Formats: sequence, C-alpha cells, structure tokens
Amino acid sequence: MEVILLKKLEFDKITIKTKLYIMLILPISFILLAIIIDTPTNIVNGIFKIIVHPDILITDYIKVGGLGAALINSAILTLVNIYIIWKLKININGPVISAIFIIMGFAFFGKNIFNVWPIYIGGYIYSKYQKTNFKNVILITMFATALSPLVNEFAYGLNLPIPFGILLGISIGILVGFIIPPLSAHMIRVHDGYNLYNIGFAAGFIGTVIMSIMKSYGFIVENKVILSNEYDTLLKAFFTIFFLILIILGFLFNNRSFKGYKRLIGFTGRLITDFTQLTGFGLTLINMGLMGLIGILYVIIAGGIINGPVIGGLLTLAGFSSFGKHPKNSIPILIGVLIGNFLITKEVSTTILVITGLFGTSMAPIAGTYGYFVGILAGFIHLSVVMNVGYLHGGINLYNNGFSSGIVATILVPIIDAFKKED
Amino acid sequence: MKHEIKRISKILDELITFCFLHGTNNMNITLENHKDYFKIHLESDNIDCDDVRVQKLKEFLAYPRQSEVEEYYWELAGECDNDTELTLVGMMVDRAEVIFDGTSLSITLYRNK
Repeated sequence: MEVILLKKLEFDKITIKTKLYIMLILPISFILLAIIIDTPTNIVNGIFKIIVHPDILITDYIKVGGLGAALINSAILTLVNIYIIWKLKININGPVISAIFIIMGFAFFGKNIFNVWPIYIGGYIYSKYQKTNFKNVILITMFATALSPLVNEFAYGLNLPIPFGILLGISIGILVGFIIPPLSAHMIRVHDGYNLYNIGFAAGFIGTVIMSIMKSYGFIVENKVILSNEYDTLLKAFFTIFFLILIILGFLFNNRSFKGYKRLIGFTGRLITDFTQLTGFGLTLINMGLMGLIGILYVIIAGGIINGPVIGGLLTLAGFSSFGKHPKNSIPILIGVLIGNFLITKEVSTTILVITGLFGTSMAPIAGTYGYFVGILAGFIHLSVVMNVGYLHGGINLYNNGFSSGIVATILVPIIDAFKKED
Repeated sequence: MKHEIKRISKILDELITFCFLHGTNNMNITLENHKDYFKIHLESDNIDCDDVRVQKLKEFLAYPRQSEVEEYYWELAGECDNDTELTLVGMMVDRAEVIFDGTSLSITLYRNK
C-alpha cells in the first residue's frame, strides 16, 4: 500500500521575488528605451494625446503619441499591475504572467493610464459586494481591461459636455468591471476551455450589446486603422533581444539545460495548462522566449512590420506561452491563417494578417487536442470570422480575436467531436 | 465564496470522471460538511495505479490552493469527458491525501470555507 499525504507545497524553488524581478525586465527596458529615443516633453505631450484619443480598434499609440509615450504608457500600466500582484501576495503563475503581458502589449493600442482604472474599481466593488477578497477577482479584472475603449468612447465619442462625458465613461467602465467576473466564469463553459482568451469572448458579447444600444440611439462607429511604420527595425531588434534573454534565463533556471521541453510540448494547452506548475518556471521562460521568436519570424514571413498592434500580438503570444501555447499547438494556427490569406478573395492588410495569426493562437488547444489538420482548419476559419465580428462590437472589445476564436472554438469542437467514433 | 455548493459538486464531478476514464467499476463517495471545511472522500476499485496518468494525480492534487485562478476557471471542472481538470481541483482544495493499494484508489480532499 502506498499512502501519500499531500500537503500543499511551495510553488517551486524560485522565489516570488525573483519572478517579480523577471517581470520587471521589460517595463524597465521600455522606460530606458523611451528616455534614449525621446525627450521628456514629447513623452508627456504624447501621453496626453493617447489619453484623449478614441481607442477603438485599431489605434496604434506609437502613431498617436510617439514611441516614447507608448513605451512609458505601457511601462506605467505594467508596473502598477505588478505592484498590485505583489501587494495582494499572488504567486507569479501562468495566468498572472499572461495577464501582465497582455496588459503590457495592449498598452500599445487601446489600454492607457486613464481608461483602465474604472474597470479595476468595478472589480473591487464587485469583490466588496460579494464579500470576497479582491485577490480573487484581480486576475479577471486585469484581463477585463479589454473593454477599456468603452471609457474613452463614452467620455469623448458622444459629443457630450466633457465633464459629463468623462463621468459617464468612468461609470460605464465601473459597470463593466462589476459584471465581467461572473460573466467570464460562465462563458468559459461555452467553448470548454479551447479558447485561451476567454475574456475576449465574454467582452465581445458585452461589447456587442452595448454597441447595439448605442447604435439604436444614433451613435455612428467610425472605422479607423491608425498604424505606425517607423520603428520596425528598432523594435524587431529590441524584442528579439528580450526573447533571447528569456530563453537564457530559462536555461539557467532549468539547471542549465532544456531538459523537459519535450514534455512541455506534449500538453494540449487546453485551459487550464499552467506551465509554471506543470513543468517549472525555467522551462516556461524558455517556451515564452521561443514562442516570441517564432512570432517575430511569423511577422517577417507574412511580410509585416512591428508596430503597436503587432507588439500587442507578440507580447500576448509570449505571455500565454506560460499558460497553454507552445510551438506544436500554435504553429498550425499560424499556417492556417496564412493559407486562408492565399485562398480568400477579400484583401487583407499585412498588419491585420499578422495580428490575426498571432492572436489566433488563442485556439492553440484545438491543435493540441485534435492535431495539426484541425489546427490549420481553425486558423483558416478564424481569418474569415475575425474580419466580420469587429462590426458587432464596433471595435470597443480590444480582444476581437478572442471573440472570434471563442466563436470558432464553440462551433468547431462539437463538430469534430461528432466525427469521433468513440465515446 | 459564491456558488460554494456548486464548486464542491464540480470537484466531485471531476473526480468521478477521472475514475471512469481509468476503468472503475465501483465508486464510493462521502462528503462531510464541517463548520470550517468540506471533506470529500472517494474510494474506487479497478484502477491501474501504475498508469502514469494515475500517478500524476499526486502531482496535480499537490498544487497550492489558488483562489484567484479558481474564481476565473472553476466552471471548467467536470465539463470535459475526454480530458481532466485535476490541476484545477488541486488549486481548489487546501489538502489532499491519496492512497494507492493494488488496484484500489482512495482520495481525500479538504477544502476550507
């Protein structure tokens, strides 16, 4: 007889403090880079422009406020979130790394130091209302900043008197922050964990309802694509170095080896697959770095350049590589999107193609569970769906690909299941 | 926590699915509702305790409780019939005991209120 008493162990040998330091590498690098390439006056003016500019998809903050301001905006948001994580004594696990990276990435196109906080206040009020610890909902709240553009749209987009508009925008943000924790937990059952950007799916529905109501009262959505193209080489070099640093750090933490990586790519990636716990922090960093490099390679193959939205795609890809994504389950999605681009007749801009692929890896668990062919099929379908669902929420849901992926996963998984002969 | 009873049911659902997937013919489950904690006890026969996936049970259930992850993902527990969410169960309980005895498996979980 083998009796095992399992007492809850420490997370792993690497301390939370060390993990926090690693999380600080990129935001601090952003600050240093901003100081080198831009002047303080430009940065302050740029941040102001970012704050007052409407944020619906796709608004590249590098174009709106300049690279320096976009970097500082991202750094501030990331540092504040890391501070919250530290203050609430939350371990740096896969979901937390993903949340930090998604905020860091989307702070280049939609999330800024003004429009995210109402959602946090809403989450906090929800936790007090339900008499639970804010720690329990902080993760959902961080992801829920997908709907931050709502705050700006109500504040500046309705042509209301500015103070009233700002108050209304903040109130709507608080309301969204309040309702999203129960909604997101519920929506996860719809796709059974096959869409990693679950909040994008939930936020897509919320955004659709809100935008439908707004349109009923005469609100007109202005489709816009504001993109920068000046810093491609600099950003490629910067992020390549960062991803290489992640691989080197991971190698060192993993006893100076890549041992165990074969096991990591054996996981399907379906929610919840937390690599920090299943394989250790070192291998997780290796996977994140490697996936980041694959992301950059994909940008080059697709003929794209690195701008705000693509930074968002790369950092989200790397972040979720601590929580389900790896080369084996993500590359089929990328291939599917590229094949789709060749076969569809509608013209797709390179940036749209690039971010559709990068964010489309949200469906990596489908490829991980059902194989390469189904993964490629998912990516192929996703390209068509993602170009149409944006209309529903008018671009106020930043995780448009998460919404599309949720729809594709919800449809595709039961169909594949219907063709399986076993139970 | 909100939906506490449903969360306990989800943990049970996941354990039952796990045992079915590994060949059980007979399962006995007891659930105790104490003042400060829930105790879930499950005994199952005909389980291949040498199976790597069964052995992984120890690793998965040993995960520290993580309420922030639970709050977001708890509804996934017990939802899939060809995969398991035992890592999630590990994150939803404060203490776990596992006994392998030939083909018999005994699991006891404690979840603080």
